Amino acid sequence: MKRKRSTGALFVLPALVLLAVFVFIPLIGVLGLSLTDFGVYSLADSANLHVIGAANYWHLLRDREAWQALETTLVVVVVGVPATLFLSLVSALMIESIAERWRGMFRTALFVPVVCSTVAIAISWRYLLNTRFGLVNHLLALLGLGAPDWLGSPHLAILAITIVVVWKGFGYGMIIVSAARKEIPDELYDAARIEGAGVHQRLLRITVPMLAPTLGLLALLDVSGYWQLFAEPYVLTQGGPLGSTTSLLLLMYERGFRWWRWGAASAIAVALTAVMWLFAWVQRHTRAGWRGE
Amino acid sequence: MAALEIEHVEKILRGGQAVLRDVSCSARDGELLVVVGPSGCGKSTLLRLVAGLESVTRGVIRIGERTVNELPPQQRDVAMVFQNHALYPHMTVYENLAFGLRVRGTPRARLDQRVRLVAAQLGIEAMLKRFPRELSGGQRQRTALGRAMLRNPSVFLLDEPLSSLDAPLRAELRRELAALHRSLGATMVYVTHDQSEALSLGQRMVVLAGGRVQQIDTPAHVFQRPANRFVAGFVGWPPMNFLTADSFDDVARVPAGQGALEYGVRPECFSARPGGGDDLQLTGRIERIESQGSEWDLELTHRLGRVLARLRPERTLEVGEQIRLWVARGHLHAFDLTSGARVELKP
Ligand SMILES: Nc1ncnc2c1ncn2[C@@H]1O[C@H](COP(=O)(O)OP(=O)(O)OP(=O)(O)O)[C@@H](O)[C@H]1O
Ligand SMILES: [Mg+2]
Repeated sequence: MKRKRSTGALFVLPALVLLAVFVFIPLIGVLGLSLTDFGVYSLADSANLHVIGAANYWHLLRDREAWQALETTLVVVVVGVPATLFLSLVSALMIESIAERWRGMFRTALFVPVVCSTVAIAISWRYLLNTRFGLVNHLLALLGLGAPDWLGSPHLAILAITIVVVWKGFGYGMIIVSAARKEIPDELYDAARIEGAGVHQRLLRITVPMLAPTLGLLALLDVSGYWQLFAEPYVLTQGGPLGSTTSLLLLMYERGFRWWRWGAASAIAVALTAVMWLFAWVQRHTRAGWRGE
Repeated sequence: MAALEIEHVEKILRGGQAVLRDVSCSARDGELLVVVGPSGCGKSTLLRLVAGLESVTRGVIRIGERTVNELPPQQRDVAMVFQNHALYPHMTVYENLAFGLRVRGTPRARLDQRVRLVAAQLGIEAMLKRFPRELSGGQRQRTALGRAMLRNPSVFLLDEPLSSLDAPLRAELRRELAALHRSLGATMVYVTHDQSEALSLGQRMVVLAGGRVQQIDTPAHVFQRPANRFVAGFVGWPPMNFLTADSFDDVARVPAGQGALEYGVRPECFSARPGGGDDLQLTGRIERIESQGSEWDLELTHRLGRVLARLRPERTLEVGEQIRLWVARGHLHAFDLTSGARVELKP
């Protein structure tokens, strides 16, 4: 028995080492850093390094930029996640209803953004959204609509970022929903038809509730993904205009790697992680009723 | 309630495979018709055609006075219990039962009354708040049955509703089902691959094989006068023995008919003692003995092959022993060797 246990430990060791090096140690390091004023001056002379307790966190609470970044991030999460789930669901169901031989093509087309590099996508969208030469405004012009300055005005910029994020993200959910949909036995639909349920009733009373556990999981993944919004605003708008698209992660990046204030940046990182954990905990403990089998 | 008529129905799949060929049968108003046949013979397909889940390639299906060929399932006024119950896993028993009335917009009070009534009839009142995964196999099957009963349909279609249960529970539910059928007075089509279930349940049974109707008759008639070699071998357990005339000791005494014949003898029709004067006689060596409680199953090799006999011998028998068995001429079935059709022997 004892031997078996040590053998088992040996097998998990590589994973543990990797986790320790890339997750646990940095996490503890960041926690430690967030309690100091570690910055570019401390690099020059360690006498400039002070433990300042929770001061970084108190500053954060009174920091207007941080609140704005929180708002920006929340907007993307609150608008983006439902939109992503909706598109994942609708596209999965629609693809199922088109002729078999076209299915693969559509599925691939919608999934490609997921596997593309975010930076490449952001750069393409920068061209697409260009006020004067962009394809988007060209199409709007054909429809007789104005030529908005997508990335230049605060409200439109955050909208544009959300659109790009959702566009890149929903293909993943589509594949997951498709797989979950195939797991629903055909007999349930047969039974429902005999019982008198029409297309819409079958959708609302069988498909959607049966997919609910899957959609819940996707919601969790999407929330945690969008909460860490970074590359899209970094490439598309660099956080502007007027800081309107600076997400929390982007703010952290700027504090840390632009202004060399690692203590303050670490505090943001810790706060981001804490909120994510809180969310996961709430999500785990509030889902009631049917959880799938 | 209404009668169900199936006339010359054919179902050919898109690939050209014929699943049902010229099937005609009918269930009278209030009758429990059993459809029995081996796995893959098209039983489920037949029910799906009646339910409207699939469309017939040829033929007519009538429920009551209406031809329902073109009607969608919800307008046919039928209910179906599926092979593996098909309960909605995300709904409680109550919601499962209520589903049909709910989607049809029945008022809440009437729906509630109906659900509770049916649940009480089936003895699942205490389960109403549970989800299907929290039920035993029998309770699931009762729920599926209840869901079918709730709307009071004209015709019930039951697709092997008991096949997923163990033997004692199956027997119990079968009796309940028979009682339920009497009290509801409903027209039911009950599909099974288990011939003993068919024998014990139906008022009339349809034997289906290879997508064709082999025989339609009462269980007693099907058992006593099987229409062809297939039915003879399929109905009854242990299955009938098939022999040629020269398997018997005295070929000359075997009644002959026109053309070459094959003879069928049920294992329980053998006897270890001569009965009347014109009994046929068969000698063989005992290869295997198996106790069935008060009876013994013997496997013998005779001159041309093997037979199974179910006897109540007076003395102990040994493997390897030669034994002589008798069959009354009246217990002999005869089938045409090429067509397999039943041939009546002159008494
Ligand atoms: N959708 C389908 N595609 C291809 N073949 C099918 C389809 N549905 C039925 N079949 C074929 O039709 C035949 C009859 O099928 P069916 O399900 O009616 O059999 P069954 O008598 O109900 O069998 P079981 O007792 O195993 O349930 C089978 O040979 C099956 O392979
Ligand atoms: Mg079947």
